[in-house]
Amino acid sequence: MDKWEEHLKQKLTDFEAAPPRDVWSDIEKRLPSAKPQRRVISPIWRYSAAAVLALIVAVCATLLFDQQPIEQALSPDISVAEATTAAQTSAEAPATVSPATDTAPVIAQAHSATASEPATPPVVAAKTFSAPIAETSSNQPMPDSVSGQSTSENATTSGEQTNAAEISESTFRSNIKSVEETANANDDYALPEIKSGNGGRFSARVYASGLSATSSSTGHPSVYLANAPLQNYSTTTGLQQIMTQQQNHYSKEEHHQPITTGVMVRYNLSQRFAVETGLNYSYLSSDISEGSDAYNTQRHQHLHYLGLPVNGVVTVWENRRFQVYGTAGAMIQKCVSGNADVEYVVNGKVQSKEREDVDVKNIQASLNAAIGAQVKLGHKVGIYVEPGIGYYFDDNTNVRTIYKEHPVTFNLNVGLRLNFE
Amino acid sequence: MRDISDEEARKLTEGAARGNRASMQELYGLFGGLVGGVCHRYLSDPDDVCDAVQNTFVAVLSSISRFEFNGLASLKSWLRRIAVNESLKIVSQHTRFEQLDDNPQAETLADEHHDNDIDNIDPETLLALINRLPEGCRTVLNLYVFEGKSHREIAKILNISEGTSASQYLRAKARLRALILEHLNQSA
Repeated sequence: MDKWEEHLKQKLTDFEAAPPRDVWSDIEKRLPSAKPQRRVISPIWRYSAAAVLALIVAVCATLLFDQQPIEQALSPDISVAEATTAAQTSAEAPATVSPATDTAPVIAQAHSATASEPATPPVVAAKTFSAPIAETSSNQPMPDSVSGQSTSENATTSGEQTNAAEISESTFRSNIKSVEETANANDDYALPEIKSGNGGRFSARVYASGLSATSSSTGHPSVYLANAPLQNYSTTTGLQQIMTQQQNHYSKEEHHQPITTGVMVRYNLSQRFAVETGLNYSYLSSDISEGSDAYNTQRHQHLHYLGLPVNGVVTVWENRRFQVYGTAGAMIQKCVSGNADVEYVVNGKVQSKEREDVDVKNIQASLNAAIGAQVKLGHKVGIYVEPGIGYYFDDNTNVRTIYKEHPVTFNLNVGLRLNFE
Repeated sequence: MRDISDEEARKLTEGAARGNRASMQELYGLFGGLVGGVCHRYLSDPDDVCDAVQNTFVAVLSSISRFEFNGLASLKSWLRRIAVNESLKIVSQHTRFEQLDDNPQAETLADEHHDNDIDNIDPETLLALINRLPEGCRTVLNLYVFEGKSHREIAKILNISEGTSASQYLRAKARLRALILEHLNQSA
């Protein structure tokens, strides 16, 4: 560089010029939450989870009467939704509860995220919820379990962990506030790498069950909100390629995991038996290509289903802290809206693109069965894991969906339950 | 920015890495000017500068947990690099570099004794003059003089030919000298 250039450089290299206006608040809004989350969630899931969160809050506000446990119960709900709305990168994982699923660490993460201290006890700590509730127990009394629980946490029938720390109520209030802030903040933060429609989508299913001490023989309705069941058979290998020798004709289908969200209402017939029904929405997207290398069609299909499930529930075993149950039932779904973007490739080049409406006239029926394990976090709240199997009948249409390719599916639901009278 | 020690810078960096908002805000307060200075060179529009500064700090604070602190100087140069990148991103939104021509106009370079012109100008004015250059050649000037890139490197960054980089630089240089001269003559 010559002298002139040197002078120029010296003059301005360390020159400080504040931006025209203070942008710190804009920056702060876009920062990731204080404790980075481990799991990265795709945008579609975030929006549906946010919608479910709004639904949860509305339901709780109108239906839950007992104020004290509500506030404590609300925070894990919001925490769970916050965990799923937060799209963050790596983080440490604190100890998790025994159901070795993905949600449990996420929920635990959520608790960590919302607590102001770094060392936050894991989800089991939420057992403090049950402490102040002396008058009712959160179980249906089982013949061989302790009924009428007292505040003494040591009276247990089965080995339970008592290593949880206390979380004060004021911490929860501030947790709720900070979670709301970060939940809003996280909506602005975009992760460029995440494409919707790929890979394992994860669900936090929130529902309130009707299990309450006072319901011995009379049932109380309960509501749970279901989100995307995790289909455990690998979607990444849901790709099917049928190569036929003549003319190198192929057809390829890649069906992405459906996202499902819904509301279920459970009615307890007795201590052991319950029925539930509800409404859910599923989004099915698929990429189908057909033809030869030079002449083919690429079809990106999006279907929206509404479903009506009906299940029977049998409680296999229960005590103050845990519940194991089985469910079985059926569901009918109807595609209420669908479209496909189709690209026509001629001579190796995309000649035209069209959007067509997809009308699936027939009903999609399915059967399902599952086993569930629930950890109760108090009178009003529980978390559960529910691995299950579903069988999807052929709907006798020509529309290709994931259900046609994989009639038998294994899925894993994990979620949160709210009880109310 | 007020002088801070290496140790203080390390503490702030570690605090920010842990997600401590106060540390993050302190970093912004300390280094906002430095980042702003870089962005102001590349971008003439005040809103663009705000965006670039914002994006820089968001990028920095989001990845600061992976940053290995190695002294205040290394922190500053990291900040500068990110600021340059973010500024370039915005520049490339409104300047098509591939359309820059590589024929240097016949701008005459001033003679030697004008080399000291720069000493007679205050930094704010100099910055304002730089902002009056056309964005394409201004970018090349910035990368060459302030970031110390060679024309070959600039060519790679902006996806232009080395020849275009060289001629754009000469144009910027000549233009800027003319602007400086004009300014000095006006205030004389």
